[in-house]
Amino acid sequence: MNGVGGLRSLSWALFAGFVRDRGALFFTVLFPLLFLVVFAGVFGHQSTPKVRVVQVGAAPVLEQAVGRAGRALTDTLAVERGGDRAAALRKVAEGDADAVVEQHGDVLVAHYSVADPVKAGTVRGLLGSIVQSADVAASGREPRFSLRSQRVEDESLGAVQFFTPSLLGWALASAGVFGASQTLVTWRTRGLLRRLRLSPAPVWTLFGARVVVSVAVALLQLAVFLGVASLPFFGLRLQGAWWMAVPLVVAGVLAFLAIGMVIGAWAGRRSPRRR
Amino acid sequence: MAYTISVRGLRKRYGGVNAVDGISFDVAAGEFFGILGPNGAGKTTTLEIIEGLRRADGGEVSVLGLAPWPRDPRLLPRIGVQLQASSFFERLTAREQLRTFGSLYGVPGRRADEMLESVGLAGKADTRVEALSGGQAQRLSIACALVHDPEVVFLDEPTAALDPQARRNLWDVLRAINTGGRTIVLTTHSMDEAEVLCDRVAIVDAGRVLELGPPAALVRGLDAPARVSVAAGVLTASEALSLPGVDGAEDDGVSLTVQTRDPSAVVAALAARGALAGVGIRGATLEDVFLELTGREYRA
Repeated sequence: MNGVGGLRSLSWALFAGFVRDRGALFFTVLFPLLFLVVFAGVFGHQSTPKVRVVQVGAAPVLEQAVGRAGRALTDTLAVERGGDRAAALRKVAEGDADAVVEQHGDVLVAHYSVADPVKAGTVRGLLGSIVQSADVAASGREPRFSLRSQRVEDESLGAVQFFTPSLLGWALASAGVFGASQTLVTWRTRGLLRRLRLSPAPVWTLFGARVVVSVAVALLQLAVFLGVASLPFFGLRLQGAWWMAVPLVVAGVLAFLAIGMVIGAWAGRRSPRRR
Repeated sequence: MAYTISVRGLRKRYGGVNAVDGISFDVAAGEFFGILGPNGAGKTTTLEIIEGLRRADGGEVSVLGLAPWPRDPRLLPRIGVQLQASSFFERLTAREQLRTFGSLYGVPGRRADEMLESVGLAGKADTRVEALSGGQAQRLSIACALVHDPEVVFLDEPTAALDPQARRNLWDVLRAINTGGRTIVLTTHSMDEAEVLCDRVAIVDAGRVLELGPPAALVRGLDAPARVSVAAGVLTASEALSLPGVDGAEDDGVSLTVQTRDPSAVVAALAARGALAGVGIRGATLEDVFLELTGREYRA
C-alpha cells in the first residue's frame, strides 16, 4: 500500500530521533572528529627528526663537512660538543643522543646504540657519506657522480591527507553498524516492530528507512569531516577525483549497515516474553 | 447476522503448554468485548492471534470477514492495535509520533492533531514521549491505534500500571471511542474495569473460556449473598446472627460484616438497633464471579 509515504515518514522519524540523540551525535560525528584534531594536530606538521650527534674532542672531518655543506647537512644532523667522553657515551646509552663521534688520526669513530636501529642506521649512513666525500676532497679530484632524490607523492601529502580518510572510514563503519543494529533492537524491545507490522506499511519500508537515514548520516559525516579538515589549521587539500569519495562512502555504509542489520537481528532475538 | 470477529476452537501451544486450548467466541459490530483472566490465562496470546501477530496452531479466526494470518494489507487499515505504552519512536514529540503513525495509513496531519485533542493531550503536543506520564503515554498509545479511524480496536491491558485518576480518565476516553460505533476488544485482569466498560466479557483461564456473557448477568448467575457492613462494637457477631434474614456474620474488629439474601430486612433490623454507623452494602461483583471460577489460591 502506501509504500513511498511510509518510507518518507519512517525515515523522517528515524532521522529526527537520531539528530535529537546527543549521545549518538557525539559518537558518530564529534568523537571521530576529536581524533582528527588530535592526530592531524600532533602529526600534521611533523618533519624528519634530526640525528643528534655528540662530538668529543677535535673531529676535523666532521667540522669541515658541516662547514662545507651548511644547511643541507644541519637540517638532518645536529652536532653538539661534549667535553667528557664518558658522559657523552652515557647520553647515547640512555637515548638522549644518537651517537658520539671522535676522531683518532684519520679514523672517524662513531659510537651508536642498537636500541634504535633506525637511528643507528641513519647515523652510520650519514657519517659514512661524510667520510667518503672527505676522501674525494682529499684526492683533489672533482666528484663525478651526484645524487638527486625526489618523492613520488606530490607536495600536498601531509599527515592530514591520510588521517582524514582513515578516521572517516572508522566513523562510517561504527555509525553504520551501531545505527542499524540499535534501531532493530530498540524497536523490537519496545514493541514498535510488532506495532509497525500491524500497519499497512510494507516491511521493506522499515529497512528502506534505515538505509536512507544511514546514507544521509554518512554524507553528513563526510561533509563535516571534509569541512573541518580543510580548515587552514589542518590544511586538507582535495584534488583529483576526490568526489569519487561520495559513491565510495555510500557503498561502504551499505556494507557496514548490512553487518549491523545481521547483528541487530541476532542480538534482539530474545524479545521479552509477554503475558 | 455476520459477526465482526468470529473465533472458533482456537489453539496455540508453547513448548508443552496449551496457552490457548480451544477458545471460541463472537463479537458483534459496535460491541465492547472484554477478555478477562488472571496472568498467564492466554488472554494476550488469544488477542495476538486475532490481531494477526501470531499464527494459531488450530481453529479459525475471522475479523471483518478476513483471516488475520497471513498478514493481509486489506485488513490492516481497518483494525487498530494498542500494544504497549512504550511502542513509540524514540525522541519524537506526541504530535510527531501521532503524525508518523498516521502517515503510515495515509492520514493527513490535521487528523492526527484532532486525535491528540480527543485524548486530551493537546497541551502535551510538543512534549517528547519519554517525558509523558504513564497515563499520558497510554492515552497517546491509544490515539496511535485510533488515528486511522479503524472499525475494530484491540486494547491489551490498557490501564495496567496506571493510578486511579489516570484509569478513570482513560475509561472516559475508551467509552467515547465505543460510542462512535467502533467494536472494541479489551483484555484486562481488572474486574471493575470490565464491569464498567464491557458489554460482554469472556472469563478465560488456562486457555479456555470459563464463562461468557454481560457482566451483570454473570454476577446474577452467581447468586451470591449481599454483604452489609457496619462499624464494629455496637453489635456482636452472635447478636447479628440472630437478626432476621442473616446467613452469616463476621467481626474483624473494625467492621461487622453480615451476609444476607434480604438486605432490606437486615438494614431495617440494624436501624432499629441504632447500629447503622458506617454502613456499606455490597452486592456480588464480577470479582466474585471471577474468583468463584478461577479459584482463590495465589498463582504467580
